[in-house]
Amino acid sequence: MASAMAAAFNLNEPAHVVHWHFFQMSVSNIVVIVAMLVVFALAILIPFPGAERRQTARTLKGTGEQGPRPPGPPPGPRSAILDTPAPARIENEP
Amino acid sequence: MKRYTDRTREWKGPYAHYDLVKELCIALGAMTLLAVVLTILFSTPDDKPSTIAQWSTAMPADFTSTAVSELDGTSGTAEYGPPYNNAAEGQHAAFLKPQEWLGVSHPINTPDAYVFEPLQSIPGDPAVKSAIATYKAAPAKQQKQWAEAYAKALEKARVEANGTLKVPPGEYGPVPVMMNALLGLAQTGSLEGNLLRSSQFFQTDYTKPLLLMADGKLLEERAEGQHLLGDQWGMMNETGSYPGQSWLWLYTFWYQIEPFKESENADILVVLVMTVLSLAFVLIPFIPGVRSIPRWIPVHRLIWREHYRATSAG
Amino acid sequence: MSVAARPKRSWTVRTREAAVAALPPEKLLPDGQPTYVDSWIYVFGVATLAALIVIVGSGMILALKGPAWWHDTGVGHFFNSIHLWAVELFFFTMVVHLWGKYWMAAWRGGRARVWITGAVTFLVAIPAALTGYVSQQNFDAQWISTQAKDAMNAIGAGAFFNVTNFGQMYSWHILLFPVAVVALVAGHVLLVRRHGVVPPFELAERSEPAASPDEPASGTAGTAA
Repeated sequence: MASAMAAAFNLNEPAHVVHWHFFQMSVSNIVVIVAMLVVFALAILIPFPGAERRQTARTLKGTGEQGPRPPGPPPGPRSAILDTPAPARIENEP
Repeated sequence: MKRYTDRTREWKGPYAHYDLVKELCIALGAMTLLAVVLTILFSTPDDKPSTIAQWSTAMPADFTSTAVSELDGTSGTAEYGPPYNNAAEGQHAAFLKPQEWLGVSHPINTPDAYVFEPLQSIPGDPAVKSAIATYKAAPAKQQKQWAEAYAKALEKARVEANGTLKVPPGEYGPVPVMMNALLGLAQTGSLEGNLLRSSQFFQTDYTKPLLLMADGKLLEERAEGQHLLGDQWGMMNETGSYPGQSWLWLYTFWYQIEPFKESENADILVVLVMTVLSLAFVLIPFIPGVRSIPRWIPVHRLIWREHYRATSAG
Repeated sequence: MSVAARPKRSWTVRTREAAVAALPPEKLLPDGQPTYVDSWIYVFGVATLAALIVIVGSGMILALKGPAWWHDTGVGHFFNSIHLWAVELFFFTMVVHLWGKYWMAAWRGGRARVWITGAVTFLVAIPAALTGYVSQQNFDAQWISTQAKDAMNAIGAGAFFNVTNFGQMYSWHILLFPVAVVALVAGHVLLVRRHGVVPPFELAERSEPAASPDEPASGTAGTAA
């Protein structure tokens, strides 16, 4: 119990419960569920970083130049991978 | 109706650099930090377990009436059915009776397990041994009369200074002697160890003591105070004000409504419903309508708005 | 050993070649993603994976000192708290990930097994958590085990899965269920790598096929629901 007593907020008190007809839920569970909905909404609304990088890739693709190479086709059934030279490494853009 | 066709094709469009390993490392750092911060802010609950000694000391009448019900075979455990005994058939749903089919795999004879065997471990008490012998020698009908009379008298019991119970006078046979001895054993803390005994030295199975406690009122009263009862949607809850298991919301929901609420077969019925729903959840890709909702309600237009803007401009 | 001399029926060779054919290194660990991977919703899969790693890591520390440690010391309680909060984070991120994948209809394009392995992981994680709750050796464990036993017994599972048997529940919790969850998650992630992240829905219905599968203006992934 030492850790619990040392916690910044003591949640060991009886829960506050929301009642509505036959529905009952503790406030803490409601907070978690509402937080999930809020986080989901934020996740799809907040712009994702790297838009410039992605636009550059689209532009490069349009001009035929290489961006980061997509995963190549699988080797043949008897690739003898140990005997052939290693595939060329994907070049990183500066 | 248009035939469902999935014309999703392999992406041949542009790729941008994306560092998956770095992303995993950042996620790991973030999740670790979040878990540590939540721990420092709130910690977690650790409510001490109830013990039979506490139960019998704080609620001697409840403990004793539970012991009487174990003796005369009217307790929850005694009347449970499989896997503990054959006193009942158990739950069923139409022709499905898995509880009965799987049989008695963890046999508990409640008079033996909870009364006679613990009492027989008390050394040098001829009164108790004589009471047990008298009870066992009596016909079943007489045993029942004694037990029922004593159970009724316990409703008006008074706790004496020495911890024993005083009940109004009546025809209880040897039952009071046995019950007072059992109460004394429980209050000293010896009953738990006794109930954990088996043919082995090392013990890890707490079924017998837990079932005895569950037959009484202590655990239930404690649970009610913490909003853990079934009709309090308790399956979702944690002790105190901590967040619990919100993912169990649908499972506990069915227990709150008819026909499950008052049904004797509520558990098997709810599990069946949840099995069907879980199977449907796993097989969403194959369920007409459900698999099409994401197309009809275009949340994806928000998710992929950059892509759609770029491709329509491009 | 030259190619010609390698035995045709070598299980090792066949396993290796099947694995490499299914997931060549560039596909297993690509350094690029399609440009439509452009939303924060995409991080919730890896966040769930990270939460799982924290759960397993904190669980391993708890296992080092045994099941009674966290009751007796502040340090033990600290790691138990990390374990429990990581479980809350795991379910939190997994559900957000699930919602995102549903609204993307991420099973399209032959990705049904990705959805199935993910859904089964969620379902297996629930009893994995249950065995943890009944292994706490405190009041919560007493209550949950004496309640859950009724559902288990009603479906016959109680005959071989006894929630009031601490030894059995602890064993399932620290070994059997983690192995199952980790195996399912590994399968799920490998399937995602194999099939790639699902492309977006095509916006406009097209009456004729796209001029070129590379043409981005059509929405490169055509799909009808």
